[in-house]
Amino acid sequence: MTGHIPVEQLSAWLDRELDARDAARVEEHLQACDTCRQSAREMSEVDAIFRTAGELELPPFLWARIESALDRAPARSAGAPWFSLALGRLRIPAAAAASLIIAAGGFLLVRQGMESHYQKRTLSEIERARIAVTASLREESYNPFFRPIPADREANPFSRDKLDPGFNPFRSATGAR
Amino acid sequence: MDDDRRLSDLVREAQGGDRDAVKAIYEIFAPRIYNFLVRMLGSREEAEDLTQQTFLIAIGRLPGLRDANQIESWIYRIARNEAYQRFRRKKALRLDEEYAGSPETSDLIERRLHANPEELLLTGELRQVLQKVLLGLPPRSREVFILAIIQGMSYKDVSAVTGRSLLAVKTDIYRARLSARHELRKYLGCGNPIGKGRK
Repeated sequence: MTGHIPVEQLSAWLDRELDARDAARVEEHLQACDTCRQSAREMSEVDAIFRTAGELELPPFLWARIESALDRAPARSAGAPWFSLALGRLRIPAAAAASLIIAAGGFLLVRQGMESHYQKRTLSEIERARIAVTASLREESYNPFFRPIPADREANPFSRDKLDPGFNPFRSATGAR
Repeated sequence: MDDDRRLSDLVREAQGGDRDAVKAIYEIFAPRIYNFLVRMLGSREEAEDLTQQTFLIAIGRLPGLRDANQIESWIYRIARNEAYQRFRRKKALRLDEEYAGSPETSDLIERRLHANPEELLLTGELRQVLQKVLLGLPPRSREVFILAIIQGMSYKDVSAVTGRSLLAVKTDIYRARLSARHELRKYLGCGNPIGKGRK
């Protein structure tokens, strides 16, 4: 091998990712080349220092949290259905379960459609009745609280015209005011 | 080989709804997935959340897994996707700030300049320096570095997890290695990162 080993090749050699022939060539070159040997050593030391730090321990209770989430929402899990877990030991075949769901879904849709039809009819009847009542209330005769203002002021005992200008209802009987 | 067969059996049992098998699969892969996520995200809390999320998704999709032998790269792929989704949500990788921005970290980095890896290991600070170095790498380099170099995954499996070609993975790994060496030198303040301390 002439010159130096490409770093990419050296890196793959460190990871034992070269085939036997290439690995042998690299090793032969390393025997004779200080620069490449130094380079390989530095890279392997970096690897070592990262591996030295070790692994962190898995937090406790993580599985308990996962299991609890599975129990809470078995059907909510993404992807394919988790029928078996959800149904415990029953293990209904997926096809049968799917058929049941489709049938139930169809029934619900039809039912919802019928309900929706009757709801619409009822609502339109209520609306018609509301319009009729509102219209009728506009007419005075239908308003039970309607009291017409007396056209004849004579009927109003408090009409200014009827009061004696000298009459003071707040004057006490004994007061000489 | 026996381990592979045992794993395939476990996967099949888990696909059949056996909760014990699901738990066994979790126990095999969760520690590595959690460590992968801690290193990718730089936060234990987030890694814990995403590990939980990863396994919930994996368990939900398990019946759809066709090749039981692919379960490892399959779970890693889910974890990686979750991590990238988190990155996208955060946009600017606030995680970097968690380490780089805190005064504690600055002090730590100052002290690094006068320490060697062995001392750091003894004081338990090495992990923080390494995390800082990892977070200094772009996510693409970071993930291959964690998978191939720290967790010892084969290039083929890294390729399966990341969805990149074997050749691209090979290039990414050597670049990540060079970047990590460069960053480590910066924090350790010595010519030879793991040499015998500062000269």
